[in-house]
Formats: sequence, C-alpha cells, structure tokens
Amino acid sequence: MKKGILSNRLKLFKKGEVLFLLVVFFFLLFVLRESLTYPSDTRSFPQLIILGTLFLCAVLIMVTFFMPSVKETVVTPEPEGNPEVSTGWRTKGRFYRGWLSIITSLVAAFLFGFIFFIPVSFISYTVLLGRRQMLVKAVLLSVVTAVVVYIAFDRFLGIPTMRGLLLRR
Amino acid sequence: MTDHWSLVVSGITLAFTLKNILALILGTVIGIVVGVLPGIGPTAGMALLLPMTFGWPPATALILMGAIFFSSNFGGSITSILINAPGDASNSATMMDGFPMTENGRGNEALGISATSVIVGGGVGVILLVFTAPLIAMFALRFGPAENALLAVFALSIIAAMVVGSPVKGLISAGIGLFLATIGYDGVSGNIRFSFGVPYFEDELQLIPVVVGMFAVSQVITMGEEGGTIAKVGKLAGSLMEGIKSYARHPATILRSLGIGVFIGALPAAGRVTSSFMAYADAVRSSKNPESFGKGNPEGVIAPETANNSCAMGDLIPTLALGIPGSTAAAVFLGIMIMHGVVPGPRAFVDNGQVLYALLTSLVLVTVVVFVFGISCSGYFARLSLLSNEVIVPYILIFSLLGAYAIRNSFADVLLTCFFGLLGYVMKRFGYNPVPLILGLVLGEMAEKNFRRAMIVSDGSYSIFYASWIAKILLAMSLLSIIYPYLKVLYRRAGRGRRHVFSSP
Repeated sequence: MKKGILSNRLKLFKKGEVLFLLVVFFFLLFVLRESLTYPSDTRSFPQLIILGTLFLCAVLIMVTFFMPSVKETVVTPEPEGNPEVSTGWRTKGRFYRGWLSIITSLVAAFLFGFIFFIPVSFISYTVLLGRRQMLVKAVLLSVVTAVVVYIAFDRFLGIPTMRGLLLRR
Repeated sequence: MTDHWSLVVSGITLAFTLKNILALILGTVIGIVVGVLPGIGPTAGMALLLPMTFGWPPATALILMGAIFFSSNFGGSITSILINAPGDASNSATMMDGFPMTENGRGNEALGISATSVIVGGGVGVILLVFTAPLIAMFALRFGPAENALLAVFALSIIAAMVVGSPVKGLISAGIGLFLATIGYDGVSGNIRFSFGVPYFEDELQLIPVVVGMFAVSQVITMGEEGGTIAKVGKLAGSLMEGIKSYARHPATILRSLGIGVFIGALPAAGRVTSSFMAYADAVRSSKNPESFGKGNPEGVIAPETANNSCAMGDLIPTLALGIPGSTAAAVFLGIMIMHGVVPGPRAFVDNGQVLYALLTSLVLVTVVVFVFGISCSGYFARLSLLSNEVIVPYILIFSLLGAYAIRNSFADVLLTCFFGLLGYVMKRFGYNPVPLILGLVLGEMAEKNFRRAMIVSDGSYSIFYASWIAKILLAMSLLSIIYPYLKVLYRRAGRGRRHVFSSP
C-alpha cells in the first residue's frame, strides 16, 4: 500500500507543474547563493524577496507531494477571477511547429533584417501551422506589410527597425 | 478670483483656435496609432514628435503631446481586447476579460465599453484634476518612503490574492517579478546585481519586452495551437451601443474605479498599471459573481479601463501641482513642459494659467475625439477577430518583435521577448497568472527604493512600517487581502458542514 502511495507521488515528477516548480526553486537557490557575494545593503531586498518566494515554492512542493487533497482545496482554491487557468497541451506537434516558426523568423530578422523577417514570418507560419493553399495569399500579404512597415516605421515615424547582420552597411 | 476666471476663459478660448484643434486631432490619431503598436506607447510617441514642436507656441505643443499622452491608452485597449496583446503595460488588465469577450464574439461591445470609459474616465479625471489637484497633492505628500513601499506591497498582495485563483501561485509569480526588478544596476548603491557577467543584464530589465513576451508571444503560440479564428463563435454578437449600455449599468464599479484611478495617479511613481490592476481586483472582490471574471465579464473591462483613463489625468496632478511625475510618460511630458517654458509647481497655474487651462480643455476634447473615433471605427476593428489566425498571428509576432526592438535598437531585447513568451506560455499552462509577475516587475523598483529609504530614515528599525496611520491601514489591508481567499474557503466549508449536519437524517 505504502509502495503504491510512493509510486503515485513519484509520478508527480512527470507532471510539468512540479518540474516547473522545482526549476523555479533551484533557480532561486542559485541566485540566493549569488546574492551572498554582494554588499549587505545591496543584497538585503533581493534576499528578502528570494527567501519569501523560496518558502512559498517549498510549501507548494511539500503540499503537492504530501497533502494533495489540501492542495486542491486550500492552496489552490477554485479559481474565481483566474482567466489563465491551465490549458494543457492542445497538440504538442503544433506547439513545437509554432516555436520552429518563431525561431525561423528570428534567424531571418537577425541575418537579413525586417524586410526578410516579415515574409519569413508569414510563410513559415503558413507552411508549418496553416493551410498550404493560403501560401500565395501569405506571400502577397507579407510583401504589402513589409512595404507599409518600411514606409511607416523607417521613412515616416523614424522608428528603428532590424537591419540584419548581413545587410548592415 | 476674477483674474483666475479670466485665465480659465482665455485658456478655453485658446484651446479652440484652429491651430490647436488641428494639433489635438493630429495628437489623438498619432496617440491611437502608437498605442496600437506593442512596445511603442505614449512615451516613445511623445519623444518621437518632440523635435517637431520646438518652434511651436507652448500651448500648441503641449496640446499635441497631451493628446498623444492620453489617447494612446485607447489604442492599447484595442489590441488588448481583440488579440490579447497589450499596446502598453497599462492595458494588460483589460485583456483579462476583454479578450474572452472577443472570443465570445462580443469584441464590439468590449470596444464600446473601452470608448465610453475614455470619455467618462478621462472627462471626470480632468474635472477632478482641476478641482482637487491641490488637495490630493497635499495628501500624496503624506506618503513617505514606508507608505510608498507598503503601497507597492498592498498592490501586489491584492492582485496576487484576488485576480489569481491560487494566492500561493500568485505570490510566487509576484515574487519572481520582484526578483526580476532587482536585476542590473542598483539605483541606491550603484552596485550591479545578478548580471552574471553579461553586459546586457547590467542595465535593468526593460518592461516592454517582458510584457510583450508574456502576453503577445505566448498568445502567438496559443493561437498557433488552436488555429481557426479569435472569435470562437464565428460571428460577432453585441454592438457598440450594447457596450455603452453595459457601461452605464455598473455605476458603482465606475465610481470606485474612478476613485482608484485618480488617487493612484496622484501618487508619485505608482502609475497606470497599478491603478488598472487594483480596479480590476476591486471589481472581482465586490462582484456577486466573481467566478464570471476572466470569462468575458464586461465589468472586467469597465473597471481597468475607467481607472486607466482617470489615472492618466490623475498622473498629471503631481506633475502639474508638485513637479513630480507619476509615471515615465508623465516624466517625459514634464520635460516637454519645461522645454516649452511651462514650469510646474504650486505656482504653475498662476504663472502659466492660460496655457495650462488650454491644455486641460483640450484633454476634455481629446476624450470626445477618441470616443467618436472609437464609436465610428470599432466595428471595423472588431471584424479582425473573425479573420483566420493564419493572417492575424504573423502580424502579432511581427509588430511585437518590431516594438521590442524599437525601444533600444537591440536584438537582445527581441530574444528576451521570446524567452518571456515561452515563460508566459508555461506559466499559463500550469495555472500561474503572469499578471502578478508584471506588476512585481513594475513595482519592484518603487518597493525597493522606498524600503531602503525607510530603513535609513528609521535607523534600521522596522517600526517605521507601522508608525503612521496610513502605514497601519495599508499593512492591515495587505494582510487581509492575502488571507481573504483562505477565509472564504474556510467559510464555505463551514457552511457546507452546517448544511450537511442539518440535512443528515
């Protein structure tokens, strides 16, 4: 029986929520250690914050492992005004493809500037997450957007835009 | 007295000259545009147009800047409501119910509420500004370092406890935000903290990349996963008129939000972000149906928008009456005033009465122009929610990252935006609301500086944090807001227990 309870508790490690808490916990421990090297007046406030947050993380981890029923009712009472309740993985594939699209766009922005960043954003999103038949529409939209952004940001408002490592003069 | 009224009349007359009316319209349009673009905001908008106004008469220049300062909020609310990406950090609270309204096909109604709150919040804010500026400014001066630090604590505790379902998770989120605010240059001692040798982190974390990342980039991923359109119902329900009616149905929420907005605006360094979140939390706390918040409750748009607009006016109280700006945008506005020879302070209305009354009259007119613009164009904006995510998502990504880059011309800010996009997504997925994190980042500097100043003033004694009656009230309210959700749970349990006992055979 006890073994069963233990294995159930250990399964919690597989849950992203516990892993996230542990990552936050160890990150805070790391920065707490780093703060010890600072003069006392500089470190007092961050240490207060770090220790307080560490305490809360520890409470949440302990309660999650040892008192799951308490966690459900008291530590995490039913959301009242919470708009951002857990959404779960809708589809892992789309999540990874979404990030692939963002990374591709970032690389284009870094190397070739915003003129290429805009078409690459549209095209990569359409290819990876959209409908292929929308590709022509995406290309046209991206060209129009790039021109409008260039005129509005660069020529009219003077807002700095990404130039790109390879195209910088 | 006669002199005072003659200044008021000549100020009003000055506001209605053709040149000033044109400046007002130009400023309003530019304000809405810079508000729509994530990351640009009123501060950058005013800074961009400043060189253009150097040869202008002071009244015209200040009217242009005042119009940008005020109308950008409406632009920010458009993107908050329609695509869940705030134009400015102060619009973050509007997203919490504005975007769910759009998902339910009621984006038009939400925009109607936002446009109405501009005219009500802004209009009443100006009137309060004229009549109560000296009184509020004098009261604000009673806030010493301890009271200011406690105000930050109170704002964080109320948001963590009320807005978020789990107060512990809310406080962890706020703690992370406060920690992030300590990264970089320490403004009091001059030391550098938590930079780990990376020059980029020696400067403090910029708010805009964090806000844009947490909300806009994480939204890009969520929308990419979901596909389809933003409006889940496939057609638009509700209208602008419904938005106006809906606004009028909640007078108590409006009055409380107006009070919060003007009061917070009057406090130096508290600002619009704090006021909109506090008004939202207050609306949740006082509602008979708190569970409907976050699912598209109109009150969740009314409260932050009204507070935000009245706070923008309240922001000008310490700026004009004391020469102490209430926010970054107000600080830029203050600089522009001084550049044009209008020196703020107790004598500002005596020395430059005509210009300042012209400015205040124009700010009332700006609320009308924004309202008319909102009423005429919101229907077109709302149709965006029916467009396919394939079209909308790349636009959100492009303007978010261009906005993040534009702040400091730095690609590192773009990477930071993406990092916070991932963090925001993960936090939302595990039930951590990113809002307390943002507020922690906003209030961190104010909390730390005032905490340290208070400790210096009290010679290291913590008693300063409960010495004055203002400090006692703030401390009590902070503690109450943290234990309130638990008391509620215990009360409900006790109620269930009693019912169970009575219903048992």
